[in-house]
Amino acid sequence: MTAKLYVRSFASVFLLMGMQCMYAVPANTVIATIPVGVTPAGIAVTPNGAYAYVANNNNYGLLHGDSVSVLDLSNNTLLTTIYEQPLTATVFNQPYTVTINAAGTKAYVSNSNSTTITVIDTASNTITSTINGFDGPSGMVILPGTNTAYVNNYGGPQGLMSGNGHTLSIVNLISEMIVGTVNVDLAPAALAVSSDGAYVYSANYVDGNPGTGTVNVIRTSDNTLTTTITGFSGPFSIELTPDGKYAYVTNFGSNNFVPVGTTVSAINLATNTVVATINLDIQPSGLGITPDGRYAYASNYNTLYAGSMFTNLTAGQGTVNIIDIATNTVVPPVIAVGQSPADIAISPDGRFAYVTNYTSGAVDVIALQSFQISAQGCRIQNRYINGTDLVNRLTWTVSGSSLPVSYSIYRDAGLTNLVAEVSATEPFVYYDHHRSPNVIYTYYIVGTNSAGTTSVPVAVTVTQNCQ
Amino acid sequence: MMKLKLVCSALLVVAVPLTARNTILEFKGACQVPTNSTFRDIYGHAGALYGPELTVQLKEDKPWHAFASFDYFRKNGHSIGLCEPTTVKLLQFALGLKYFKSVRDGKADLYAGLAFEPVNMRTINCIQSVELRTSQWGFGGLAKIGAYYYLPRNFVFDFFIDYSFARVGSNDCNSCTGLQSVKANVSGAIFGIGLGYNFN
Repeated sequence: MTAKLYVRSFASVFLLMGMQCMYAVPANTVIATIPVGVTPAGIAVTPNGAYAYVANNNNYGLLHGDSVSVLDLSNNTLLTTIYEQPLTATVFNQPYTVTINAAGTKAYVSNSNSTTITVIDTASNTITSTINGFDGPSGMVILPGTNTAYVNNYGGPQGLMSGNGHTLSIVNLISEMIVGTVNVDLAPAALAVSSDGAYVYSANYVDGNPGTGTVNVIRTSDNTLTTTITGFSGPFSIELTPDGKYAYVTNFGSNNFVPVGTTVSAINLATNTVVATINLDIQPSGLGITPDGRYAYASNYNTLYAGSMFTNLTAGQGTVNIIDIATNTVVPPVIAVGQSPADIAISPDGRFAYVTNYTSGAVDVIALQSFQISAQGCRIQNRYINGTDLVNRLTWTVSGSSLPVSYSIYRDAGLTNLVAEVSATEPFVYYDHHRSPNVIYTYYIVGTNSAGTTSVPVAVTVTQNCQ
Repeated sequence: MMKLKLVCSALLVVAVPLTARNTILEFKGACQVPTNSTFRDIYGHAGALYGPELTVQLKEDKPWHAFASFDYFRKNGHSIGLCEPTTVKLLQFALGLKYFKSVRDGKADLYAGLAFEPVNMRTINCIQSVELRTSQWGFGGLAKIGAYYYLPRNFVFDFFIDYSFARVGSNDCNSCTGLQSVKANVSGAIFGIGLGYNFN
């Protein structure tokens, strides 16, 4: 049984109004919801972070529902929708993923229900050509610095049946021709490429049963399958950390039989072994890793169906889990998003995550914490001739991008007892005077950047005297 | 009219005995060297002290003299820890006895003395750019040795070394200072010189 995200249901599309972030909002919260097309699946952000392209899978088979939505990320609105040209033609056929080249000039849309990749000129947002010869293409990666792409053939009705593909196609993006094929395991569902382009990783769904999925490692210099990593459960997405040391794979499982997947696997790419299996919510689907490599965001699809032709759709609350890559643990909060969150793309500056909600028909925009605050505290006995002022000194540093413009310092975890606001133009130090002896103080520092995103509070407990 | 007569009578009562005995009024300048390390760390190793002193022989031809003095000391410094500005002012009042020993055929007197010394300390502590002002009292003592050298026309030089020992404030008066209070040790050695006039 395959379990592609083809949930054939006529659930209504929520036409939610896009919302602008006007006030400070905590990091890892949804700040806008952008209505897009029918059953949005894959999403990709242009390298300059200005636009996102969303493949509207049109799983319900609505007339002219196969499309690509272009989002203006400067104001989180729908810029335009690219339909079939002309409307009667079938240029798109259940578009599933979007891949944008490094120059940001072209978007490649995989048509999962056909044999083609549609090429879009991003300057004019028009379809320029179609690359043919695939079999239910469901993903694409471009080798960095080259014009060579790999496309996974998941299998489709026009070739092998869905989920019965077992090859990758090698594509020359200049000639837009398939120039080679690599055999992989059954139902290659997602691809990733190392930053040096030396290896392509194919996550193979196989049959969705626990432990049956694989990841094939293909050496691109000679297109040889060098390693197969086993033990996955319906792997659905694969992402590499920016340093190229680890890969994360969502174990989606299935959405038409139990047990459904609830984990993400971490692979050490030096040894090509699974080093951690992390428990998430129901049906981890999409993955996005922040540019600083600190966190992986996984969308939990949480949608089941029954009956023939996927007609009985039951979508629960979609969520996004945050994985701390340093510890391979899930960290709070669990972010509530729309129904059936399928894919995640993270902006190049790490400030936002964009989640396609398959059955909601919308993209949720999540404000991320693109910076990290590291804080320390110590106590100073500020001595005068007739008394001592007990002073707690807090100092901190910040790293990352889109850094805070101000810092708020609280004395309580509930963030109600604000004791100071420190501008980023001032030294990163705060002295809290007139403290009581024999009391251990804990402070909470929250940074706010110019977008109004506030960080997760950083707790600092003052226990030692300053040196 | 009656009041004026009473005042004049009182002045005569005082003036006649004063002129019959050593009565020295002098103005002193001195260098106070604090002996307390905290004081030194905050305000430095020395500061100027000045003020008047009146010494009166208790009985003619006897070596015992009473004296009263008022000294003023002011110094700026910085707190230990955060180096914030602070100012201390000491108003030292002394009331005590001196024992005189005449030398050089009466041209000079050596003396030693002890006194009871109330001290008023006023501080201005700057904390986060806010001035915290305090005024506190303390009590201590003063020990002194010195020499008077008598000049023509009844002028007199006073060379002296004092040791003032006093603690000011309290350990449990946080509301007084806005700080975790401690008694301030304002003790110090005083090296000075005075120029006075002997009304004898």
